Amino acid sequence: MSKITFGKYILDSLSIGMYSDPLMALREYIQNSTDSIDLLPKDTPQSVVEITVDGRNRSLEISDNGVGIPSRKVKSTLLNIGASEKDPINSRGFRGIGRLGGLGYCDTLVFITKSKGERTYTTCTWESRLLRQLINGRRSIDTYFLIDKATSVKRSAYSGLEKDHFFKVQMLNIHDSRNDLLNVPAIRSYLSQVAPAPFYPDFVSGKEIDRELLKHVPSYKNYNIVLNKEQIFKQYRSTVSLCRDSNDEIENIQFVELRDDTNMLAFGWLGNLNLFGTVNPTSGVDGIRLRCGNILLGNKDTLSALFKETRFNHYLVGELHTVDKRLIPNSRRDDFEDSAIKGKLFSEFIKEIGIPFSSKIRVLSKERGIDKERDNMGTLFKQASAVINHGYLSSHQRDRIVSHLNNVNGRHSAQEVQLAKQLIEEVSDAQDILSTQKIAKRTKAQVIDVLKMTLDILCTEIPPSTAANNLVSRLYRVITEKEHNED
Amino acid sequence: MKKRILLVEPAYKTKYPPLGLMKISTYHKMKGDEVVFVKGRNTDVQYQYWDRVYIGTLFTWTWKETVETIRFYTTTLFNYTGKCFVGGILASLLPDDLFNETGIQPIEGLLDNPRKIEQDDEIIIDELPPDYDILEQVESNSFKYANTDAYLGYASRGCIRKCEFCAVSTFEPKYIPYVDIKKLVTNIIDKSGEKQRLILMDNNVLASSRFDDIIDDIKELGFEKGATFGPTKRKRIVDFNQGLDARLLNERKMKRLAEIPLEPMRLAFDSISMKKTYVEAVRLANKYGQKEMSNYILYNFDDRPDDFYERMRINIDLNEEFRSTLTRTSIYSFPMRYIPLNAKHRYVDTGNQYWNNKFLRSVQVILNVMKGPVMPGKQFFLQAFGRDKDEFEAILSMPGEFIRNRLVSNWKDIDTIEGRWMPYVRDWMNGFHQLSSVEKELLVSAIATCDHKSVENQYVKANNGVKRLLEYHLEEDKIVAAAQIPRNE
Repeated sequence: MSKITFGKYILDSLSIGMYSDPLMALREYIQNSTDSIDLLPKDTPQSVVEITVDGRNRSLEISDNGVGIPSRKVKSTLLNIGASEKDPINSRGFRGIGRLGGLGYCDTLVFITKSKGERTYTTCTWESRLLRQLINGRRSIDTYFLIDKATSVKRSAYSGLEKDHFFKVQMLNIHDSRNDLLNVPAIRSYLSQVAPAPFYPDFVSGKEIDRELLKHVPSYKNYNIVLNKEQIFKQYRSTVSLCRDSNDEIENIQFVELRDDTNMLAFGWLGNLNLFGTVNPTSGVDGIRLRCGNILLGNKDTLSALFKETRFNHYLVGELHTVDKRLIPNSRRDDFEDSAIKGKLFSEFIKEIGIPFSSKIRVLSKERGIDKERDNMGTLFKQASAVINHGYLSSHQRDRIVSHLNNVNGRHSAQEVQLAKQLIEEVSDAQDILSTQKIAKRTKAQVIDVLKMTLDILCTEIPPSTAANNLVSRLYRVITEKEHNED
Repeated sequence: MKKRILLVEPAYKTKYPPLGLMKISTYHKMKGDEVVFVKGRNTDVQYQYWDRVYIGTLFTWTWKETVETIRFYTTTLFNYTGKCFVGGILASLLPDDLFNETGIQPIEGLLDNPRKIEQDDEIIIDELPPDYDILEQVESNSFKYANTDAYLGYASRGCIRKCEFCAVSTFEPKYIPYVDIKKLVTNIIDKSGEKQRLILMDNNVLASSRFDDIIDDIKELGFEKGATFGPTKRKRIVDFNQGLDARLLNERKMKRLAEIPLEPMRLAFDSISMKKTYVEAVRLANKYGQKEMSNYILYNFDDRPDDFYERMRINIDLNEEFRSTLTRTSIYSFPMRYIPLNAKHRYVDTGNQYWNNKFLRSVQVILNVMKGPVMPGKQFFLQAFGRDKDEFEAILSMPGEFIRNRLVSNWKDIDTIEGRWMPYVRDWMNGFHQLSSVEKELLVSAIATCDHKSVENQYVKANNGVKRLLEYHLEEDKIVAAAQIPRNE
């Protein structure tokens, strides 16, 4: 058999072409950091993953004080591809490709590491700019040659303490089309939803959820992750902001177990909301989110297809953590590898959560629709009688009420239809509120006072927008011009 | 290709038009781009496509509004932060905070280098004339700038001093003694027509080695003393609106300043230690016929309430003195409260132990009545700020409602200041003046934070004299309301 070629595009597919979002590269590095922290002896104090974004120099560093890599192993660990020595059962990563995630978004990718007891640290540099040039060039080259050309490993004397241990990733001269890797708030929002960060200390239910998750999910763990000196927390709070400018409260937590005949497949929690409406998508907590090793799998919509309508997931707040080790994330980490066990998990989810909540949300939404209609009718009749008793404010208002009353038809009760008919006549006969004699008795100053109050009301009541402001200014000009003319 | 450019000034109040954005407008219009200028978070432009958004920033204490404005427009840009450029004073003073909060690395300092906003040419934007046309776009949107009928510019840049309370040394670290305003003004006339006034924002023009050239330039542009403008013969006016350095004013320079229509002439009286220099400078101005002066009085920096009073009082006494001179110079005092350069809101502790929240608020209440400046009239001043330092101290400690409602309604018919006071004010003054200095300290420590709880706590412990005054603080609303009810109703 002739020699098989591993061409240059293999590396391309595993790094530059792998992820759709540059921030996913960060997820891979944080995953490696947490795996490395897990390997520390139990009594190790304060482990931390620190991310530093430097906008002026367009660079980013992810640094952890996990076990690091001993210098003799650096070359094999950091240059080999798809050959991780990690244990697939207990580590979050195991394929040996995640560290390539940053290659597509910077000119130079540097790994610096030291393990405990060594007097040296090792620097492994990937010239990613050169790498991309070689891949995009016309020459056909194989992966081995490519890596040999674009990387270097250097060992240096370490001036700090011998017992120190760390791993740092540096992305230098970053360029991603949206600047996301240099956008601190965007990174913070992403990590707070994806990374294995703790709940906010002031999220009341957080402690209870932590307790239950620790009991049922062996891989559940939180890490101290810090971005430009500020710790990252999952964004759950007791008050949940909904889409239509209203809030709901998480007062109780419902826990869910999804099992096959013998094993627990996944364990999760749901905040018991009133299901008034969808949760605000910018809050970073909408939908039940699937997590594996406490890292988000896919995105917030990974489970949405398991509801009758995808939008129903957005009425809920909660997390589902995988328990069964046979549920293995795929290499892009946007789903599980296909397997019978995955099928089982998703069917269980549909049965326990997807269908019950879909129907509950639908029923509630229908009821709200009926209530609303009833309220609308009530308001309409009230407005109509106000116009009849006191006169109308503008002919536009009168016509609008009449046209609404005309719409009362067979859908409504016979009594309502009858009342509407009667009101239409009376409203049509109603008088202009300003044409009544009362107004003529007022002095000019009183009229101006009324106008001033009107403007006040407009300014405070209408939502601020340019159109509204323009309207008020126009009214104001009309009034002041009038005032001046009369002076 | 023609680009769509959006310029934004966050929705804070400003007197002066945004010069930086106006220059950027000129630049983009030179390139044939379409430029739109808006004030604040404008929902109408949100649904339009923009190639670039420029956001100007000003005082650091507008932090919250500024950050929200930047967030609003990054959302408008679908989070393409690379298309959003943030610059100006706040951005230059708090670049790292802004970066962490908004994801945008701001442009620091002046636009004096084409690389700063990734230009594909070598044009220095800072040297371009401002585009006045964009101001009209905003004015139709219910916000109006003052000072638009003026050439706005600089005849020098930076400052030779490094005062701790001032941002200029950070923002413009290099002192440039001469900038050609003739070129600027000619360009403005070409683009936007003639203007009545010349506003020069020089930070220290008296330090310029080319001061004489600058005065010559100003005169050459038609801004000579007594000059008029247009068919209606409006007066030409020159304003160095950042003030002049009294330490550098001498007879020769004053003589030259007297050749141009300075209206007003502005000096700073930042510290009582400058008293001699300051008074000499003002006398010099008077000698050379300067009619209007408007002088900045910094407080809450390293000063004390009593020297703040003294500095204003010096101006009042000088006004009296000048009434008998030929020029009749009148000085308006402009108290300016010090806010630290990195303060993200208006009320932060500056570490000044002589001022406290209550005193600062009291000054604000007094100033609100006058809408900013302190008038030159002596009687008016004595009534507002007190007849001496002790009375000023008593007013500062007074409940806010008392300060606001100090006078009886027919006060104009009454001659003495005491006679004009409401009865509760008279009671307060008597009570206050009877306190020993230790008791006064107790009183001040109770009211310093403007917190009702703290007054209540001290009230329990206090002796009778202090107790009575604290009672006024606890009951101020009731006392004032009761006294306001006319007897005949």
